[in-house]
Amino acid sequence: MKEKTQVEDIDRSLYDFRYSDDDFYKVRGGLTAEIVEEISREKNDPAWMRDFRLKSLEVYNSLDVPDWGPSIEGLDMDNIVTYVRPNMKKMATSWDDVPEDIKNTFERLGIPEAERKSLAGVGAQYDSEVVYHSIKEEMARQGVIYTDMESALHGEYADMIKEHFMKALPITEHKFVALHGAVWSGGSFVYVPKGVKLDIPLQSYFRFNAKGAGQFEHTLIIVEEGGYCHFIEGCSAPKYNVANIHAGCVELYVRKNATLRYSTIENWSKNMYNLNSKRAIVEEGGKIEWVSGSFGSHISYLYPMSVLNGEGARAEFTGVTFAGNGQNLDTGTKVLHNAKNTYSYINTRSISKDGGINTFRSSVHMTPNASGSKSAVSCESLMVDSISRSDTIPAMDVRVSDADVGHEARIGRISDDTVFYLMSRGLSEEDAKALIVRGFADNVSKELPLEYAVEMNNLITLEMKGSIG
Amino acid sequence: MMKINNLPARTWNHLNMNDTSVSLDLTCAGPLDYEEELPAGVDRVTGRGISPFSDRPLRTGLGTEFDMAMGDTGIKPSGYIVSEKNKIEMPVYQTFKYDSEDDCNVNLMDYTIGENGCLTVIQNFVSEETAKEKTAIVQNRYTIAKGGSLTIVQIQALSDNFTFFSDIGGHIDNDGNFKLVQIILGGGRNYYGSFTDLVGKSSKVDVDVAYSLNRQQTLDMNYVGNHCGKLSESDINVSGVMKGEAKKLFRGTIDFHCGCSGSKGAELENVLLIDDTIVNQTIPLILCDEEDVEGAHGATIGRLDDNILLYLNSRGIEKSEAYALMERAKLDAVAGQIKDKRTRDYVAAKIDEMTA
Amino acid sequence: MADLLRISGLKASVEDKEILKGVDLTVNDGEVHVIMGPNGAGKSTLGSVIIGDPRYEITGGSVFFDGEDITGEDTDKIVKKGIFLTFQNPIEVPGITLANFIKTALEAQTGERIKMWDFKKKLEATMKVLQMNPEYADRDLNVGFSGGEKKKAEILQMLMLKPKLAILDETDSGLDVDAVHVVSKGVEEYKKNVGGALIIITHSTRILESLKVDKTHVLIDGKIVTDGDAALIDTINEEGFERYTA
Repeated sequence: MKEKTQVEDIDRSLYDFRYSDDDFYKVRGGLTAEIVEEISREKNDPAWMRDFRLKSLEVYNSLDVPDWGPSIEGLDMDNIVTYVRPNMKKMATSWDDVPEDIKNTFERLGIPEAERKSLAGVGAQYDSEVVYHSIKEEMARQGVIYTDMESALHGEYADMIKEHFMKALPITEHKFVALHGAVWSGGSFVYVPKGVKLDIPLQSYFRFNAKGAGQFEHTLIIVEEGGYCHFIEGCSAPKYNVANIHAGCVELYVRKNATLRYSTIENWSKNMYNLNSKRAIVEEGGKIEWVSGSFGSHISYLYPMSVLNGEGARAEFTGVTFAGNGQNLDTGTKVLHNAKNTYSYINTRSISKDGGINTFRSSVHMTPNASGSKSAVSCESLMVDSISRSDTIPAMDVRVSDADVGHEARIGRISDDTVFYLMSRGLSEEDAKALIVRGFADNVSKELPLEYAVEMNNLITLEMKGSIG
Repeated sequence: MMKINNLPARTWNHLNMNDTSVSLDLTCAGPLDYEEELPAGVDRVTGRGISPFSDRPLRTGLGTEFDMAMGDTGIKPSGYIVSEKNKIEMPVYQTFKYDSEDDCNVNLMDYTIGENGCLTVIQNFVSEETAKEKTAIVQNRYTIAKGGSLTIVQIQALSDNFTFFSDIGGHIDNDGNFKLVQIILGGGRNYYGSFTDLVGKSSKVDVDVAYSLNRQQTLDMNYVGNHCGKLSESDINVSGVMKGEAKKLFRGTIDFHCGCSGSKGAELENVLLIDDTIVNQTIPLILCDEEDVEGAHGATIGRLDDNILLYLNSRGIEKSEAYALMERAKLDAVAGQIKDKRTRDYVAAKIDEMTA
Repeated sequence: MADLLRISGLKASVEDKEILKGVDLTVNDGEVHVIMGPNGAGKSTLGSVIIGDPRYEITGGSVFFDGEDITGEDTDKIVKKGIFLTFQNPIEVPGITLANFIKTALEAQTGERIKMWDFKKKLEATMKVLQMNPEYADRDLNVGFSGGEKKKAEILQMLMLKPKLAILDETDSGLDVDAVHVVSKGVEEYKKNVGGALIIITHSTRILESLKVDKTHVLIDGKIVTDGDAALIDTINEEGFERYTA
């Protein structure tokens, strides 16, 4: 377990460092059929995948950018390099086989250490390709599969991939899902067999090093009947003065009576356009638990969706979003209640500071199939100063009478009395406010494994530094 | 086609909540000659009797496009002016009986409340049962000067062949307040909007709406409390009951602009659903550009609470009766906001008629 | 005397946990029964199950009332036959006044509309007996009522609805002097004017001081372990429940 409680030791360089990528393979900037075909060739795609990429590109070109969210004018796809392959021959299963710079990167982020201490398996992606993947032997013995998407696509699970790939999230969903379909690369595939319960988490870490590039990893997880899995994803990148784009896709299939917990600590650098899509399809008695901490990115569009298709299926979403200077983070969740006695619980907190813009956006939809269903949404926003902004846009659409939909939202500021009280006990104003904000975000930190909670609290402390003025 | 009831901050288009498209033929539209009881002390003028105290445009709930279309009809507004310190105790009673052969009636009403002036307007909308499709439009615009107060009460019990538009908007200066009570019992297709510009310090708006929808009735709403002045307050309460194949969309927004420090806004929606064929949409927004504010919204949608139902059952009241009681309770609660006894009795009788 | 309530081998559970494990109890017309027992024995559950609270699942046995099998019947149908249960924590119902609520319940019971004037007179008179502020009639049901006021509102409903059997669940009110007074007064009035049977669930005996008790039952761990007359109350007051729990 990492002991990082001394907050003074943290500095921004923890995430903001970079190495040379001169000898990496890159496609040229922009998005054309030639580039898509080049990526497909380089990745040695099966024919169906090549066709799928080209079809996705067509859909991408036919769709408009969203007219309702933060502006993405600063993102010029003509300048984005969509594929950057680190200079290594094949994915490593031992850190010793990972090139020095890349290995150093993950060492500095604490990944190999966490793997040794508290994880059942680890995947590490550097720019467009997964550089390292491993799973503890005892997990593999139970039939658990944890590998990179490329290996899965070419190996014995090829049919399973083909059957599920972009079925939960069809490419027609929106422009950036289509973009993903065209240029996706990397990501993880997890398969948890019937009845297998993983008691320690799996983690994938996505590191973005290249300048002016895009990361488009695909995560596909299937938890079979009665299984349990906790998957953690982390992401970070060094800051550049040009736009980077992340348009990953996460597709989760939670079968009958299975449970999947999907935790994310997102800390992309503040030049990132994070246009990520996540969706879980939950069957009878199954449960999806989203835990989401969003701290990074310049612009974010992120709304993990739970589709409750089986009777008694459940979804929980616990999120915190921290928008600081130069950030416009549009986050939230969607739930589709499409079967009897389904249940959703959404609990989010957002913090706006130093000119940051936060939007909580949600949609809870109950179809006529959803009798006996319940949904409770609670969202709270904290305004740290008066130059920031926080909007709450929750939609509810109920088409069944035997339903129970509750919603509450609240917005406010840090109470002067509380700050004063803490200061009267010897805390500085800065420390007092950081403490209050950490407390405010404890809905998420309580749900994370300890070392991730500590990391998240450090991020908050870091963001709160210099907030007095 | 015209877009009305625009959501102040847009969201996913596929939800169909951002705005509503209506086609409106205003070529033959003329005003309805409504019955009026006018208490002493109110100046009645024809033509835009409104003189905004600030240079900002006056916005209404149904939106700019709709407001401009009203202006383009050339119909002369009825102006009501209450002078400084003139507190008028008796309400203005306006009864709109849509029993003529007109296809479309448009009435534009402007209210100017002087400093510390006070006025209550009670509007009743009634019709005979006919098969003919008709449109009724009423727009109420107002400016309320410092310390002034305006209350508008609308009771709408039109038959299902009516398309009804109620468009409201105005400015409020320091310490002024606007109170709106709307009871929606009829109308086939209903469009309601209210935009309150809380310009002055300590200005206040209170909105209470109750509706009961059945058959194929639709109700499309847009209520905005636009907080600009310091210490301004808004309170939007909407509650209703839905049966049959009724459709409803409630948009409610508390918009805190930079500089409105010390302001408070609350909105609450409570919907009781009775049939599985209804469509109930709700989108309660809080937009916030100011640190020192308090905003809250809540919504409770669905069946009757299990505990309440059990308690009512334990006293021998069966489920359908329990729902009828709660429906009545929702309408009564808002009707109780009406101070004028004559109107309260009228509403009680209308509700009896409807729930009988 | 005909038996009014006959419970045989009644078993009930909540979320697969069995609370009542075979209860037998017979109450005749006009009798006063007291059920005592330690916390968690299932006393309140018994009252809830008799009136068909859907949170409990009846897993065995039967409940007969007035010669009719009411086991598993809907709550509103059961109570309309003449059973009334007071709630420990009556639910707050915004929008419905206490008066309107009682009137609706009375109409539901009789199936006839009641004239407002007659009803008001009767309600005011009954409220007076309970020393209840008449303003409460027009306040929303239980909303913002203090504990004592809620208790009065429950007893008021009992007196207005005139059940053949009233079940007073007084498990938690043993220490509140005001509540004891209200309940005693209400019970006295009920016996005098309605003459129905009573089941009092309690572990306080102060309510019972001015009342002629016909039978006493001790409920422990979901079963009635002993029956007796009024004298059993004194025995339990002195000795507690230890001798029955062993």
